[in-house]
Amino acid sequence: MPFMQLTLLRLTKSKSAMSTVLGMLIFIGILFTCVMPFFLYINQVNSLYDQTVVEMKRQDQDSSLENIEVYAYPLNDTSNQVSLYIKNQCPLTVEIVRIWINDQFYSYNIQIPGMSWNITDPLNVTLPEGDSSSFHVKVTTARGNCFSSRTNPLSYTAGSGWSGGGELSINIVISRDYHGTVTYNVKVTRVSDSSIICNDDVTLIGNTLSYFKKVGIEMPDTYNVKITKGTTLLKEEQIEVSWQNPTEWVYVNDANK
Amino acid sequence: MRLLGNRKALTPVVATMILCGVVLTVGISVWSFTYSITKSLEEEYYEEIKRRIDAISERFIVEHVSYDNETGILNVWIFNYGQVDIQVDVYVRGDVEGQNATAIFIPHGQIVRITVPLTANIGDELSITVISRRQNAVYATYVVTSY
Repeated sequence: MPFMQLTLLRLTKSKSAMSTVLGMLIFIGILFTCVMPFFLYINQVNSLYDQTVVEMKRQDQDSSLENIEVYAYPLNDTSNQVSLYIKNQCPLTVEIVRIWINDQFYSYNIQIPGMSWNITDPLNVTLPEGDSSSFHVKVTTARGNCFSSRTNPLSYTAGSGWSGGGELSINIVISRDYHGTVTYNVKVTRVSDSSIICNDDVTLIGNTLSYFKKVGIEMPDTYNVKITKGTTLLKEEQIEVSWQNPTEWVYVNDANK
Repeated sequence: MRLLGNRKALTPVVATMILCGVVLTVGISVWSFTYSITKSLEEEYYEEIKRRIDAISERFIVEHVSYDNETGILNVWIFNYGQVDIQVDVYVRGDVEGQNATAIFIPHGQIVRITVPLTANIGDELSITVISRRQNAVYATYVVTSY
């Protein structure tokens, strides 16, 4: 206690003590109002930068994960309309923002959830009158990926209609003139040994007016394609697939509800 | 009463007041100076980091390329799918050369067609480099075709 009293007495008697205390208070004030907020602010800005880096990495990763299969197909052998069957093969929802047909693009906005498919509305194309034309189709996603149609190039020749695709396959196009839910059965068998290549049910719902199915085959041969709706036979046709014409197209139109 | 009567006591009081005044004035000046300096540094630092953030946020692709034989124009469609607006220059090298270095503005989420005048023949192989003004580059190749 005597020490404390002595110190207080000294401080009150000292003329410079007041200004020292004030100076110290101002120094502490500067420290708390300028320097520390400055470092806190820099820390926040650095965090913002780090956060952006992480977000961009995640966005790039999502972009690299995108994987869709695109099949462009005409609605029938002489149609001037082309639709796209898009199968999302990745777990992310893919947003299609544009469809390119040759050098012309159509702005689009469809979202396809992971592992599901969608059919675009038919797009009009200008068919040649006396010559043949080829059509290269691709789509662009919102994440900046482009996917070309697997049936590229689609070719149209006046008189003989559409052709396209370079793989051994039978491309089946089912179109209908009404809305609602309906299930079709697509059955493809090899004629030589009656082995079943494909026997799938396809359900169209809502206002989906067409469907595309690519049936991949292993070797050139003659195949029987049978499309039924319930017990109603819509089409049965024998198709010969050869190396010269590796991709054959089958069109079915269901006009009756 | 004793203090009021003693004129000598005024001097230390006045001296203390002057000393305090000087300390306060100098202190506030120093505080004000430090405050303005730190604010200025903060703004400069933020602007610099913002520039870097914008640079790493840029995302764009060469979405489509076509060549018009009649006009001698190479059309390059650039899609800016990032979150910031960009300005780009297009340089074409390969069998023929050309460029459009006019800093074409592309808002985010938009596609813009950039024209590059050059004379090419069918089969010519072109290397296309698109460089943004923030120094990000995207590359594409194109073989001149006709549909």
